[in-house]
Amino acid sequence: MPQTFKPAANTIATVSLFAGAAVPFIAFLTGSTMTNSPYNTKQFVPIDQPAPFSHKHHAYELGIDCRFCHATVEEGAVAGVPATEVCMTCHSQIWTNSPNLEAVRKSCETGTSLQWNKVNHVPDFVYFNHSIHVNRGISCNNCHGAVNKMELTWKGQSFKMSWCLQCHEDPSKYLFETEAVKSGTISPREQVFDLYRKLSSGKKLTEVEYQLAEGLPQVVPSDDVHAGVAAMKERGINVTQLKDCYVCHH
Amino acid sequence: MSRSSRTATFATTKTMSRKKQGNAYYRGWEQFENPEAFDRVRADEFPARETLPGIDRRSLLKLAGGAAALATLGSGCRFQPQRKIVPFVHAPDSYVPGKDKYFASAATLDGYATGILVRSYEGRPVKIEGNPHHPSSLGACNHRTMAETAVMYDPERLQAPSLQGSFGTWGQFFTEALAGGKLALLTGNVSSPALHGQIQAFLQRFPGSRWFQYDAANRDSAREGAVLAFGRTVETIYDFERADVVLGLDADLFIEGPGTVAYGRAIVGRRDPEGEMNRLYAVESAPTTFGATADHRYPAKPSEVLSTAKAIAAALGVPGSVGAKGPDSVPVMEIVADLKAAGSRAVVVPGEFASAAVHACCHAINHALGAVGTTVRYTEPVLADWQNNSNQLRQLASMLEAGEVQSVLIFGGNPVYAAPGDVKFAEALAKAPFSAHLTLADNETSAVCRWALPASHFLEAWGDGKGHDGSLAVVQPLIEPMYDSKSEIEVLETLLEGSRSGERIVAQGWGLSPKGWKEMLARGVSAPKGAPSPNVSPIPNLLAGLPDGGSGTEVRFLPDPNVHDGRYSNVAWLQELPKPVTNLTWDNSIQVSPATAKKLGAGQQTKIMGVIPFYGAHDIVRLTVGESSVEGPIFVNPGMADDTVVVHMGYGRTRGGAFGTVGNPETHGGGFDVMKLRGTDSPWLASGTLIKAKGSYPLANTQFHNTLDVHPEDSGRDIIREVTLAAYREHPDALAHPSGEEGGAHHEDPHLPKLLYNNEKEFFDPTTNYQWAMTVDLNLCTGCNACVTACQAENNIPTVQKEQVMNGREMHWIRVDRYYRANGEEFDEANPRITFQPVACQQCDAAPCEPVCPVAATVHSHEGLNQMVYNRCVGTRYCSNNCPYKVRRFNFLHFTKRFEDVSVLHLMQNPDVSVRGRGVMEKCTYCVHRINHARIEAKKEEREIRDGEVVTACQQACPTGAIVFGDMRRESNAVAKTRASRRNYMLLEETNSRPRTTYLGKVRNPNPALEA
Repeated sequence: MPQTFKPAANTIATVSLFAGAAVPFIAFLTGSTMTNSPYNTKQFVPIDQPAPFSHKHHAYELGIDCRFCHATVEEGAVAGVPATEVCMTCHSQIWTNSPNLEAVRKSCETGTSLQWNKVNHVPDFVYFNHSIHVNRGISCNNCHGAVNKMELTWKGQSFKMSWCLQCHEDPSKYLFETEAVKSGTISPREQVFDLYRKLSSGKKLTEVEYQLAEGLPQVVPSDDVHAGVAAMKERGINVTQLKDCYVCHH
Repeated sequence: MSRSSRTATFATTKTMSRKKQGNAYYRGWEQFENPEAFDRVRADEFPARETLPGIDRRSLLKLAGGAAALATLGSGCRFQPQRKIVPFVHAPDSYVPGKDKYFASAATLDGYATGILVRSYEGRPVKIEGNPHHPSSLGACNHRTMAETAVMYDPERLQAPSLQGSFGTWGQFFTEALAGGKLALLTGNVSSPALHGQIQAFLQRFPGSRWFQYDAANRDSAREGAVLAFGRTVETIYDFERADVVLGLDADLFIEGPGTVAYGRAIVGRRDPEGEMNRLYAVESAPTTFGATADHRYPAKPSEVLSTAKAIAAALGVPGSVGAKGPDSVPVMEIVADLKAAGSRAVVVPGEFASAAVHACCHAINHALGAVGTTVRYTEPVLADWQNNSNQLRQLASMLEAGEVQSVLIFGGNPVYAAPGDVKFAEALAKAPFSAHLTLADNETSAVCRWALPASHFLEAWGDGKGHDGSLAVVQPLIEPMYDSKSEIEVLETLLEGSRSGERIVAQGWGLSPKGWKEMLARGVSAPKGAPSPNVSPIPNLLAGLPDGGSGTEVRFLPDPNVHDGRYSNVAWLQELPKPVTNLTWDNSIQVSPATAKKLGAGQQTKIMGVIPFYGAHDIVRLTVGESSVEGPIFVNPGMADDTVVVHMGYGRTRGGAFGTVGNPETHGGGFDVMKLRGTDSPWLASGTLIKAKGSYPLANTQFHNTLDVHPEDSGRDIIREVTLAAYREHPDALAHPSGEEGGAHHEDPHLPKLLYNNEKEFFDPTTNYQWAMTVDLNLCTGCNACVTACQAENNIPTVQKEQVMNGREMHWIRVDRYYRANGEEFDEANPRITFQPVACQQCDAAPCEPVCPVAATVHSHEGLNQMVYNRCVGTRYCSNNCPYKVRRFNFLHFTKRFEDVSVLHLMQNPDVSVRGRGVMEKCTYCVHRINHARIEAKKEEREIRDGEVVTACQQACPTGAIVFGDMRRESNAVAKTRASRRNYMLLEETNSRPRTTYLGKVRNPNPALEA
């Protein structure tokens, strides 16, 4: 009677044993890596737009204040995307024939809205409010990445819940206060926009500001951050409820 | 699953007494009569689960496995679509996307306007609230006004002019209309100076044209009553704040008639037991919310209501009334003594739909009391050219028949459906060569007319109107007309060949400077002006000339408390809103007293199907009035007068839209039509006969849904606590500690468990976090249901329709429970004492729902809220099972599908609240989105949230201010004060769930002379 199992069966059995353990593990790892990767989250992926708008050019090189276009960022939940007429404030005078601005001119002529592709989308069932974050001195770059470096805009952060919670569980890690705020010359809210003024005029940045401007992961602790924590305590800012579900989900 | 069924027809029950001590409260008399059956209902949180398909373990595992695999594939391998941002080309000034804005306007019902504030997001009106400046609103609103957004966003609205069912244009219509002769205009009652001006101009421009007014729920009784009493029409305005004694005669003061919201606040505002309480008497044929609030309530047939009025007048020495004797059931002499003692600070109020004779008597009585000038005042009529509506319609019909009118323009309303039986309006209208109906939606009238024209909703059009006291309010549009529609004044403007815009027409009438006009728009209502008060006195020998009341079985026709005269038939919110007192939804019914039902041999089966609570099979009875008759389900309503029938109008529609039209009784409802039983001479009262017919009809009644664990023998539970004023003054702690012990039930009891979790310090550290709390004052709650609709509109709560209501799946986050009190051993079925109790999530500090959730979908917040996280919820329903208050609602089906499928309904949703899908639990959130808004605004200004800055939707709507909400940490805050009240108690305190919502016990102020 011939052998039921040939010698190769040993190898097959060994491989099967390991594969049985490894394949689900690898599948899970692959799945979660892909889910968390920019392939899925679209983090760092520049998105095509009807007009190739450059934040780097406008906000950094020209030094136009964020609020010129995102006018409601201090008062509303939504930062606001500028109406066509806001673009045309300048572009009726300059670059009037640029092919890049064809879509904008057409919108102005026909009265139909531009359709921008949304880059930063808060997941469904989340209520996010720009105004309170800005008023608390959270920099645009904290969530949007190094906007001042973006030719075409990309998503600076993953916008996953775990990412939000890093700050909501302990905002003191991300709050900071520059000298100007400490001395009372500007409000924490103004500090957000002061960063770009400093950048455009080439002023010296603090450590945290440098990290923000470069889009680097924030390194804590630093002196500014300590100042932020102290200020938070001084002003009696209460953070214990920040991680309550109802703060963002209702 | 077989449905075991137990039946007991309580209408044939012999005895209604049980051996017991003290008072006990019952959700219904079925509970008193059949406690064992009720226990079974109570034992099961979701009684209707037995209607779900049965499944064996193997299939369940197979399905679960498949679902898990599909869920992995489905959610893991999906990419979000690229979304678009579409900004303006030219942005409006001071526009903040996503931020709400309030605009003042006014809602008009039957001619009378109520000031409102409308919340708008990105140019779409989402929620209607009261305007604090308007005297008819005082910042509150009733359920009908709040449902007007649903009327505007009704997907079945007429969208373009329709000529005999095919497409037409406005141009064609105007050409035809101007060519026609012998014009007549039929409108509802009009208080708007702008519209009245246009009508006057129309009548001048087209000589020989006529104007008629008709509303089905009209004020003919009030008008004819004044004519009887004074020989002329007057507006009667009450000042209940100054009234120490109020007697209502068939008066549904909190639901029907102009000024109900303001009157509710004024009457109930005088019921603070710490101050001087007023005393309320109600003599009425059917229990109303006013009767339930009253200290003394006496059931009386409509004819007995009249004889009561006459007897009171006689006792007060009104001439011509010698020898008038009231019914035996009403202690006239004691009431008169109380009225006399109060003198000018007493008032007698006739019901809107009581007979004209009752109105006339009340005028005479108020004069005799000297109340005129104190609690009653008379002004010139608010309505322009106030006419007897029934006569007007009859006259128009006869002119149409005779060919004296060839062209009819009908503005709004639905006269073909709503005409009394002796006016053959449909036939008459069909004879007119030219007829047009300006209407929001297709209905019975527009089907008969040559033209059906889309009307603009008042949220889309300019206008104005007067409130119950004559104060003038402006109606300003919140949105451009969504369809090719026009308002009444715009149609008339084009017919007058003018070209003014709606705003121009209204503004010209007001005659204000541009700046003044802007200020007026911001405020919404003009500063109150002293309306001219005619000096009227009752004609001599008035009472001798008054007719006697009816005899036999007396039938009252009333507008439905929710869908009114049928104009709200297609509003699912109002159809599903439990009607005050009866808690019936989706249908009308033939309401009789228990004794009358017994006599008739008909009743409702307190049936339990499986364990479905009281799935009511109501015997069908036939009601005959004169030549006409109608069949409908009987509804036995304890507290009704014997030999009296109450039927509500607004049902039995043939073209009422998806929700309004009569459908399959098992799934849809729609009721039966009683309009044709009415006569023009007496539209609200008739003599009829009632016989039992064949068959039965299911009614969807929410009364026994979501019952708290009330055990009749367990007197310690004290769901409802009430005492008399005398007892309260003697024992002020009687409500907070009914069993007499000091210091509360659980605080000192060592046997009760500690909190379920041990992080009390973090949660209840009062220095760091707001601690939200709510109190509901049972003394102020009238059971009007405004809070339910407010919550529904605010929180995107879906309706589930009749079949699902019968399964106990209605989704209202707040409900108003009705309790009957059994007095000692007797349940007084003829006149039970009625108490209301609004119950929403109690936001327990030691919430029993939280520890049982396997996925932590319901967790506690640092501010004391019991959070419900929809995205985590997997639908085990353990939380609801463990909730002692039964306030959690589960989406058994995709109830919000309609919101998603019908695009116009997208606009109606509140963007601040998630729309929940199937399989998710939900419940009251204390309007946490409003808290978050306030918190953000406060943080931006680096301050704390002020007291009164967060107002929940239910609190905002409550006409009487029964609901108080706020941060309970500061003693100066309103809610801390009410919580410190000696009447404050917790529901089911012995469960140690420590609810944040507490109740203030009820104090009644009975007449010692009548307290047996």
